[in-house]
Amino acid sequence: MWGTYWVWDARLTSVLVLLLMYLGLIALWRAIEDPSRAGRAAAVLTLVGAINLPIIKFSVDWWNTLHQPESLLRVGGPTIHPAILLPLLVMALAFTLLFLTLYLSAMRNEILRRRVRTLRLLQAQSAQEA
Amino acid sequence: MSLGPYAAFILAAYALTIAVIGALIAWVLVDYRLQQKILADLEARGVTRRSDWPR
Repeated sequence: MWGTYWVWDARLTSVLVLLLMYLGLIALWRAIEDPSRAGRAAAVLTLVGAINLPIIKFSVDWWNTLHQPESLLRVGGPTIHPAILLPLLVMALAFTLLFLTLYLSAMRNEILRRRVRTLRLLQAQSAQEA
Repeated sequence: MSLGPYAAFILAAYALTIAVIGALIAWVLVDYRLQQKILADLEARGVTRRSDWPR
């Protein structure tokens, strides 16, 4: 589309920063053993990282680099041809629903994991008392 | 249907997407079964939460 795999474009670079933040978040979550302390630290980093979201959104307007100016959510309507716009919106909805399902499933797994942790702690406690 | 000169890139992009999303779905499902199995094992050994204890 742009004739290149990678370029230090404003949109690409700001999304790369988001990816690095996600990796940092995963690393932070896994580095702290106590889930409640890890959760608090991850929540703080998430709030700080959310600053990047409007930067990504408006990056194409603030910096005139390879990516075109905003073409979907803009005053005056989308500038994308309907032949591409419709599949884009359908797939955006489909992926949103897929990731929502995966997110809820992963949350259920996390609840089970914490229940397992509690039971193991209780088991260790009763073994110590015996 | 001809994919034109970028056929290899298009097919590779689809293959990678299917592999990554498939792995993500499999990971969530396998993790769910694993946690349920561990819980069932612990409960079979009589380890229960305080809220499940008889009053």
